[in-house]
Amino acid sequence: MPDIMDVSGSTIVVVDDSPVSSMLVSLILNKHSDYRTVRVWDGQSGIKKAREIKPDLILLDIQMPAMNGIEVCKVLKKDERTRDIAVIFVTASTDNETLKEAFESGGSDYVRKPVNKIELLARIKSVLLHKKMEKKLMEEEKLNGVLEMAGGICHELNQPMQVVSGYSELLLMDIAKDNSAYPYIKMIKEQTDEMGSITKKLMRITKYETRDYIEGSRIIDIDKASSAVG
Amino acid sequence: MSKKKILVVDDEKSIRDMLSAAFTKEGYEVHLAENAEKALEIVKEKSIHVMFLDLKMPGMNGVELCRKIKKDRPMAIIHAVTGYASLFELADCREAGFDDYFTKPVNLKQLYRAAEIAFEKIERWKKR
Repeated sequence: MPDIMDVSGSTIVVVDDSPVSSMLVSLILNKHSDYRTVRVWDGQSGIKKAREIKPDLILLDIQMPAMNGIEVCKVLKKDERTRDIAVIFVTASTDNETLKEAFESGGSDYVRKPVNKIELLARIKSVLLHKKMEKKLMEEEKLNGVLEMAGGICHELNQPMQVVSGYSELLLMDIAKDNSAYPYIKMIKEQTDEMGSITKKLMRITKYETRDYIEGSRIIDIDKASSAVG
Repeated sequence: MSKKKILVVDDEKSIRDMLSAAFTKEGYEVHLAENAEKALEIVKEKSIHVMFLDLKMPGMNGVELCRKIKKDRPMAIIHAVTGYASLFELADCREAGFDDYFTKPVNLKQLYRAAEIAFEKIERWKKR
């Protein structure tokens, strides 16, 4: 079971036009954490990199030429591909209006320059944890909705399955075992019962585990899912 | 000797027809009802003691129906046959007086066995 509090290995893109400031932030992160860091020098490159590698977090300088950090953040939050990436602004500004605008653009937090090592690491960890929990909650909500729908569908499927299973059982009682149709009807009965056991399992799921499916997607492992009736 | 009577209550016609064919084949006299109101009429008119009820039906549901039948006929043997019931509904079933509970799809042999046991019980009670 992965530790929900573990955010090590997260990828962070540092967007800063100042080589000194960028270097300082990278040094702190590389020395005191095991986050993977990628550095870019302007807003446009930041957007491009975010779309390309989909990092967990972007450390975004506000005062940059051409495109400032707030404008970059607005673009990222409007784009479906990058809207879920957390943004922490890094700024020398003490102007409340700028900070207000930064939060309104979709930033999760900010760190003042010159950067304090402890503060930077604490804020990064806090934002990453928040994002991770938010993502987990959303996934659980989505899966619960799917499970609820699956339960309803199973309930409806059980009715026709009962009819097919019942009639095939009646047929098996009536025809001789050497009748050529006997194995076919037996197969219908067995397969219907198998479907029935699957719907019963599905309807009893209250907790679940997912497993790898195809092309990176995951499905609920109904054999490992817990049953409400034990 | 008159045939042993069974009542099947289910709002799905296909289920009623299938269970009717199944119990008739075993020699029972089968009565069918598509809702609780009709079931209550039949129970009263035909004096039936063994029943198989669906739980989820429009109008009065199977649990309420069971409660009503048991009030007038405490010796009736009533089985629930349902697509799905939560733990809470199962507790309701016990409280309402259901004698046994089956989840669809159920094998006919299980239902035959349940009917057989029910009539054996009734015979024993009659001899007392």
